[in-house]
Amino acid sequence: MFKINKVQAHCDIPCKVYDPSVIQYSALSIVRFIDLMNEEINDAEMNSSNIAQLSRLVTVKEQHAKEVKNEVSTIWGDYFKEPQISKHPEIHQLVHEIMQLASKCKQETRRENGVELLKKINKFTEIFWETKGIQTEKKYAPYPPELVIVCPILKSV
Amino acid sequence: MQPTLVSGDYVLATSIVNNFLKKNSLVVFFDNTHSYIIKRIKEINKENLFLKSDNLATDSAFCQVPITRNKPIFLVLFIFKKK
Repeated sequence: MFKINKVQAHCDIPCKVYDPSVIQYSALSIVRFIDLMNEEINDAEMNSSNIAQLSRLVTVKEQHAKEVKNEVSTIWGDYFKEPQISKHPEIHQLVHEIMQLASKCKQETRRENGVELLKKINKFTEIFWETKGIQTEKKYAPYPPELVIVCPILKSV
Repeated sequence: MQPTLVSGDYVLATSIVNNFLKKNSLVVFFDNTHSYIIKRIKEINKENLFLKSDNLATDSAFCQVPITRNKPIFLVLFIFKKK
């Protein structure tokens, strides 16, 4: 006759820790591994050792491409909500392009794909930090392949 | 929904007085995945409710999208604190 139902004040896990730097790191790694693969092919005669090394490089390159897809979809799906999307409606197209390019980087060995992927990820990073009201600057990565990355200008301690 | 509600509190809510829903009312509704949810009305119009949580340290998907008014919405009439 009289039933008490349990109600909850639902909340998502409020960690709020999102950072696209891991995606940039993965894109840089993809380019680096493609460079190393080309060096391996150009510099050496193919023997079992070279083939094993090449195999490792291909595997890790593909892992990084998957990492890009995972991390981008997490930030896009979990962090970007109505206020951020209405301010940056181009985010959907950009994420789709990143997904397509990451797949190409997984399947192919063309350096241009990796470089183009990093450019799109830099744009994604710019938008991400802009939604948080944090300015960004372009810097050269301090390790090979030394390509340009977008970095947040953080508060000094 | 802290500090308004903490785990173990009781609320009395009814869907009979739906016409009295207004901004800042506490409401309960049913979600197929999460069962009964309690939130506060941030904005309201004829078709939708926009919700917010009293606990500003948290974030909920239910506060990001409108909740349609064509399903039962229970207005909280009383809160019974557990102590």
